[in-house]
Amino acid sequence: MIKKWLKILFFSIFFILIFKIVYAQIVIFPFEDLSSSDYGINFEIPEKIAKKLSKEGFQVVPPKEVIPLLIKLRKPNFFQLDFTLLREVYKKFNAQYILLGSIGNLQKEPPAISMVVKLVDVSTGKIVWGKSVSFSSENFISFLGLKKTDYESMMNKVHKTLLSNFKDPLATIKKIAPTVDIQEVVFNSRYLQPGKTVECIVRMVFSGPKPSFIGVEVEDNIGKRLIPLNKYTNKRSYITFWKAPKKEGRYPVVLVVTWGNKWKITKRIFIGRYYVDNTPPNLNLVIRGAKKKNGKVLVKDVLEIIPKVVGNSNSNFIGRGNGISKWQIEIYSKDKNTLILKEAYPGELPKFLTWYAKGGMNILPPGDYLIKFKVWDLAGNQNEVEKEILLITDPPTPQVVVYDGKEKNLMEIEINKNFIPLVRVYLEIFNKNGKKIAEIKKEGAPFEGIKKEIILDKNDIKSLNTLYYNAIIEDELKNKKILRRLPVIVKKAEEGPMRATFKTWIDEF
Amino acid sequence: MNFKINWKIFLILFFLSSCFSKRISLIINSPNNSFCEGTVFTFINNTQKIGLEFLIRDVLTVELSKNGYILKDPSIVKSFFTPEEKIHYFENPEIALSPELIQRLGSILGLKWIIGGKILKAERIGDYVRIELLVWVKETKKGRLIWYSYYKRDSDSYRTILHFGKTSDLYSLVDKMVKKDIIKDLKKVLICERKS
Repeated sequence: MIKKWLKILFFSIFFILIFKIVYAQIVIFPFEDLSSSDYGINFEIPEKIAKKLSKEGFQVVPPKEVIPLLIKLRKPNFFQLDFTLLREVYKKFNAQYILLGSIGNLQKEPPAISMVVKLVDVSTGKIVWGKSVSFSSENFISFLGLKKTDYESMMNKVHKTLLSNFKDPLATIKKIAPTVDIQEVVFNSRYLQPGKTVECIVRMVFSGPKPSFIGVEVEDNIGKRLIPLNKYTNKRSYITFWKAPKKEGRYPVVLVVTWGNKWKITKRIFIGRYYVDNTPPNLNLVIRGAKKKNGKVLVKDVLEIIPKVVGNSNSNFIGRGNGISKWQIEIYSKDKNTLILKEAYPGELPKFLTWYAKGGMNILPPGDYLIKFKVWDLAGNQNEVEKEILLITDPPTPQVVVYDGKEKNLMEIEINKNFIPLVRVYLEIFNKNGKKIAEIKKEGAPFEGIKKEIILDKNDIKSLNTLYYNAIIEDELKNKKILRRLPVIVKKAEEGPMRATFKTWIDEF
Repeated sequence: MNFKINWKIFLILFFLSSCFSKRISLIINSPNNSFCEGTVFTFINNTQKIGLEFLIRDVLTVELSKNGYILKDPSIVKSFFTPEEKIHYFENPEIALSPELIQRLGSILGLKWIIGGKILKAERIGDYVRIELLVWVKETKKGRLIWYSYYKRDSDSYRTILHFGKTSDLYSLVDKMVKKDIIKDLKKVLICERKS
């Protein structure tokens, strides 16, 4: 009888023990505390949860015991899970689940808490259980407000609610396949000309046995093939090279890691792509506000250059393959046959370039100029565009001359166009006392120039040397010249026309 | 003799107990579970209430998982981004999540959908709180947007009688909104027919 009871007792204990062993080990990570302005880590709540779960009979690893592993794995942002971290947790603690939590709100007075916890399966990364709780003082309103809730009692309720439907996670996995996670991928250039060497460095972290093959799957002149990766400067970095294919296009690069022997696993992870580009960037140079006349680009006092790269229609990676790595501008004076500016800069094209030709440090005299603009795309393809411009910064100055005669004086006013027609001329001539003695006014349709002769009475004007004029002259490009109190040039009658023309007589009439 | 029989009984009992655990019955690879598996990405937060975006993501994840969906932790999904895509996603999450990337994530991780969204407004004035959200679902077969919805809730949205149910805390409001409204709508979109 005793023997029988002993057997029953033995089996009961054995069964309970086995059952406990198959209970999964749960690793509790410190909780992410989003309640403070700068993100923090909370140990207090997960430690309490660990104790409660442990009391309930679950096998738990409290957060403080996890910290050394996280430090070893250099994972300060341990909320960002990856398969390597999951596998390392499994390996170190023989744990099959990780309990993660984030606290949104945590305040003691008045008590309030918002928290989410989730249980992640280390073999699949899937969330197998989760619970969110959100309590504030409104949740504890009692009849006539007789019973007040404090922080401690609220926390007890939080723990109770959280663990009320906590599932019994059973140990189901025997082994986790080895993993690899990519930390960094560096290409010498993402954009290359055909036949150039592609250099690729991959920094990765492994968990599990050493792989039997590490390489990349690429496409080049030979075709699609596997190229092994070789160890680089440190134990986590690997390097490889291959020739870019002849055909333009974008090419994917896939990391291939194989574990042979008992595992027989191959993992393929897409790590990026590179572009083969043999088309020079399509550059367009616009001179803002310029007018085109008789095949010439006319520019007034401000030279504004807008360089733009337009995507190639034959390319299927418009805007990417045509990224600019460097640009250069050259400005030549055609009149003096000299280079007046040469600048080169790395990086993207500027939105616009402005040169104040009339004022400031770099005054440009009017005349013919040649602008050469050069660009290099990210693959090293080059293109150059030239543009000839005619810079006109000022309308012409009028020639106002008075010829001193014996009986009459003859005034001759002449304004000739300066490359381009005029649109407005307003000129007034005054004597010493400020009395207007003559006036010329013309505006509207563009005109080439003005030539006018006026006969002045000797009796009206005592001294020719005191005559002066004011003028406003505007050309077709809207260049404006305002002249004030400029003296009229006095010459002997013999130097100019001897008598008034018929036209002058009509004007006077 | 009796001892041997008991051993056998024990072993049978042990295996049976393992086979009938609830957790195992959830993992099914049937062709019918076509729209069961997915992930929830961190919401874009256009407000000053930092941290709310992670909380919405986590509450949604937990609630969907409670409703029988199979969810992958979003950080694991993001570990399959290339380093370039990670930077791009950090700089501009709206553009970075291209159809091509969604398709790739779907094929690698077996995801059928990705949920994301944007917090448009979140404010607290005294006891009054208000939140405005956009939630979207993208399928991974072609990376297309299949559903989106706009939610606007405030302190009184879940009020019942007197001041019962009134919310004066943004996090409680988010919790209620997800549990009472968003999950209901998502269940209509993410039809998960699984054989158990």
